[in-house]
Amino acid sequence: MASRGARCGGYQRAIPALMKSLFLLAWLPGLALSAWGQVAGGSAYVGSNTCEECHKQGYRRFSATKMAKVFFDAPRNDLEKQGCEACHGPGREHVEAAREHDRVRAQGQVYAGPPSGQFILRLGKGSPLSASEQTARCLQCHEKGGRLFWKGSAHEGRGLSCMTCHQVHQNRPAAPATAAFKEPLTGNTLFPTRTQMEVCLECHPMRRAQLQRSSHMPLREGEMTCASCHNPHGSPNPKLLVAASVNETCYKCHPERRGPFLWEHPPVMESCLNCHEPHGSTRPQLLKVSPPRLCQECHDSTGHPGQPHLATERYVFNRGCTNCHSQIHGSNHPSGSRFQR
Amino acid sequence: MNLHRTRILGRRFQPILLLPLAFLLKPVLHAQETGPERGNLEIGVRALAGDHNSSQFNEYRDLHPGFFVQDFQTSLDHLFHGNYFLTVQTRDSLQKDQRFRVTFGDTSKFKFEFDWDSTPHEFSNSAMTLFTPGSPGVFTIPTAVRNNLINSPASLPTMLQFATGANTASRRQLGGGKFTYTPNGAWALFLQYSHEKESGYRPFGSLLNSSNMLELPEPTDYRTDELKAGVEYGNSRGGFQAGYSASIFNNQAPALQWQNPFNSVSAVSNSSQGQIALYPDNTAQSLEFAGAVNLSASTRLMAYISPEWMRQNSAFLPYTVNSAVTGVAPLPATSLNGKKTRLAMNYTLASHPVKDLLVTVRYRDYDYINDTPSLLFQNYVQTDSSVNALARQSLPYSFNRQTAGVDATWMLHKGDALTLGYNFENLDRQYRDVAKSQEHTGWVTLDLNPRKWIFFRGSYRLAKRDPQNYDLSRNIDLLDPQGEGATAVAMPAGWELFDEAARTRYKADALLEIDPTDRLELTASYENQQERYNDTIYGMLGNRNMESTIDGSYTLSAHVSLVANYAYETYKTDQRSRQYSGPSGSNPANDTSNNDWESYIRDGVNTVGGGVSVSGLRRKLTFDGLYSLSMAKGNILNRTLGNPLLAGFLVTTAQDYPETGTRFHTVTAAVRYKLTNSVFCRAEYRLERYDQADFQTAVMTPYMVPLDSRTNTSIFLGASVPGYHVNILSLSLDYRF
Repeated sequence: MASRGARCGGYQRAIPALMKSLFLLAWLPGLALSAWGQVAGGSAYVGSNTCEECHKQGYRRFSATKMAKVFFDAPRNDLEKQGCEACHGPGREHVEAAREHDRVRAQGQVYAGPPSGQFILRLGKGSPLSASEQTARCLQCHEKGGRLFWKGSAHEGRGLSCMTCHQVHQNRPAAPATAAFKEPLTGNTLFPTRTQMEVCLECHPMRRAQLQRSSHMPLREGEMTCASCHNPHGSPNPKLLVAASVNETCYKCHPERRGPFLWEHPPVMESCLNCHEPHGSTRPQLLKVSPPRLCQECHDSTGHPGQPHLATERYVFNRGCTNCHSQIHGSNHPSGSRFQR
Repeated sequence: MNLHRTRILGRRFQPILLLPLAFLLKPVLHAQETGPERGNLEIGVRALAGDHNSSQFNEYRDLHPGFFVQDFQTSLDHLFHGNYFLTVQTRDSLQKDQRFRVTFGDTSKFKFEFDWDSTPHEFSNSAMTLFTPGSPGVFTIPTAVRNNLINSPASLPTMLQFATGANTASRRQLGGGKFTYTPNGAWALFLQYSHEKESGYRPFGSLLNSSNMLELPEPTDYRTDELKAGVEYGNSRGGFQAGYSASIFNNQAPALQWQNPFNSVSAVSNSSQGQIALYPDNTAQSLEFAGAVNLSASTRLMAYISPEWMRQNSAFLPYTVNSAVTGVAPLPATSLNGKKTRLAMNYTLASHPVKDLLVTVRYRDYDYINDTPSLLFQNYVQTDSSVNALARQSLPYSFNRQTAGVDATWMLHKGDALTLGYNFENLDRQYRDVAKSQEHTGWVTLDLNPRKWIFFRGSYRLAKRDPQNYDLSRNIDLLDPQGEGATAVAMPAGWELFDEAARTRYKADALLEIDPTDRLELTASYENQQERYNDTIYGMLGNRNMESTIDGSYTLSAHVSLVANYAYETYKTDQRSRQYSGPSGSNPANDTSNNDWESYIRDGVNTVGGGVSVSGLRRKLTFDGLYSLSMAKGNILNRTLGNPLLAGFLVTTAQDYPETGTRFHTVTAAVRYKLTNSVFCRAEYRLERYDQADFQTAVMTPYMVPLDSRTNTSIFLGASVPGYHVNILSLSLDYRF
């Protein structure tokens, strides 16, 4: 057996590296625990019922959301107890300005004071707050789970805020059957568009075209969404993937290809994207190029791999090279070094 | 009562069962609170005309004629006089693509989620075979047919009349549950388990001896169990996550064995049967640790560390099932004892050193450590035919990928931003041509928002990958460096694999969004990516991809809105190769540049879509119309670079392949009428038309044609995916409560 390289030092090398990393992680929760939540004082708050007095319709729609149920029925901390003001900030000045406005108008006079809207935090389109300031309101509660890596993520860097993709005040209406993409069953209904997919496709229009291809993963049919493979809220992994690499993302649904195998095909092991286009292809099996040309991008040797071949030859028709080399993802057969067994 | 009949009865009666349930729930739900809709039930009837048995039509879905239950969902709150809730959701009930989801919990404390999901996967509905499936993974040929083929292989076309339909479809069924406990806003724990069964068949190529290509339906009978558990803590200063996950894959049909239709008595070079090892059982377990801490109000440090252990130790099959083959060396082991460890570590520091500047620094180490034993096989049996004396050694491929990068985004003005970024990647590989390569990537992105209604983003990215040394001999070991046996010729200098070769990648893209009024929105995008393999003389030389799109929506009035989209894409790849022959007798090898040839792969795709939405009668009546067309063409052009008049010219098959193409049309027209405040009726017409031209599978129709002299003793499934034309009409009632 050939000697192993210095860099790929084996399992033994992984253990100290892991221990060092775990040590580094150990002080993170300590720091986090050292400062227990900061909640603004309550004197400037008026309570959600006061909001309802003027915003009846919005309050009614919001009440149907999961967030409202937590805020209004079972708040878990002081921030959630603030209800509407947890996100929009203390409302006393806003309410007083609005009441003054109403009082002056009721007397038939022109209100010359400041508009009540400037005393409340408005979020979403038209908000005077920057994207990061708006997002900070949501991250007060939502910086856990899949949002742990939001800071510095691709979408944060491009100036998106939570409100770019989500609406908070009402559940999304059910997607009509005519929608181009069916929606998986989900408890998450806080999207402004009809389906989760449409949210992503607004900024990634090329994916819409790719998903119409003859060879595609079941995104049109609602068995998957973009979020099956990507975490739009930030990920430590490349391309916002939900798993540590491209292959590990694919293995979530295709664990049979994980191996280890006796005979491995190195480009397959390194990246499925060497041969496949996961967002849709006009070739079978999501292949980038049809065999035999796909295989001939790398393989050339005496005999058939180096020949162009006619369209009617057995190296080309039907499954091309995999007519015979069918175990191309790896073989565990003692006679399978050429992926034929 | 058989299962099929049960399903049919279920289909017929489920709407009848669900409808009273929905009506019963209505007063219960109204008793809770008046408010927005709490659920709905949509049932209907569907009629189909056309080729609705097509595999392409039924891919990942089940659109059958007759009754259907499109959706049922209901949400119950404040159960048991507390904060308990129950949500039930179903979609496409009692169909092959049915889904169920039940969620029960306390609004702020805990939640149980149960999911059931079924997905059909249709490969082809045209497959035919002479083989008969026996026990899982075993295929036999009827004796009479086999005897005829043995006596007269030329009788194959006649014998094919005895072929029967072969199932080439599979189905995934996944059930699972998740329990989440959130005692307060800071802590969360979860435990999750799922079991997936994937069963069915898919087309699978096999070669027996040197000339019996026998395509079979490969059984897929997989079970995958997954267990995950985790805990999380977070507050305004940061958070910490720890988790464990295990994935256990089990293949109930670990081998495929089949008879040779053309021979019943095994001999050297002429086996009567063959055997292939299918995917072996394997397991993967991983730990995940993630943490983030806000070092200051403007700086956050994030870390993610995850080791994973992958194992595979299924028993090896014998070298061959051909009893006539002797002289094979003993197996070096009874199983692989395969061990891989993956260690992924990521560290990210994101900071706003000044208000308008975001700086992100990243480091990532992805170590793929392969501790699988390297096994030496002194010889092996090629395609169950005969002993190949060439020794083989399995190699534990490993790699380590380290990346470090920094990018800075400067917010010039609200909506305007400039981003500069740089990334460095170091890749160490073992047992590949390139032991070490480094890639430098730089990019710049400019966001402009001169008016509230215009947004422009343009970016340019340049990446340069340099292998330290491209050494064709690094991976040879005892493997065949240049093909098989003594007559092999070394690959020409300059042959480089595209995933290791020196490469320069250019990428430019632009996005323009315009919404001058609340009524009009336009989005246009353009992307151009080119890759050049600078040192490659043979292999992939380069590729050029261009993608452009334009999307628009216009609200004509409060009752009429329009949408449209168009995309155009081109993909071009160039590759070069050489045809050569090894030495034969006193003749030297034929290995000259006069036998070089090139292939140019050209794909173009047009995608068009449009829709209109109209409402009237005080929004009681709505009409939705949608049209989409995806049209793709593919060409593979082949050219010889040599002179046919020179002696030793070999390249006689460099001819263009026939053009391939797909066209997928969809037209949908749906009318929805509000009968009462809670009942809607809906009529939908949908046309789907799929046309395809693929020379690779067209010749397979009906399912086996001796195409060249080597396929006279071969049998294929004829698993093509022909086009279809289907009209779908559905009428449904949607009851909302």
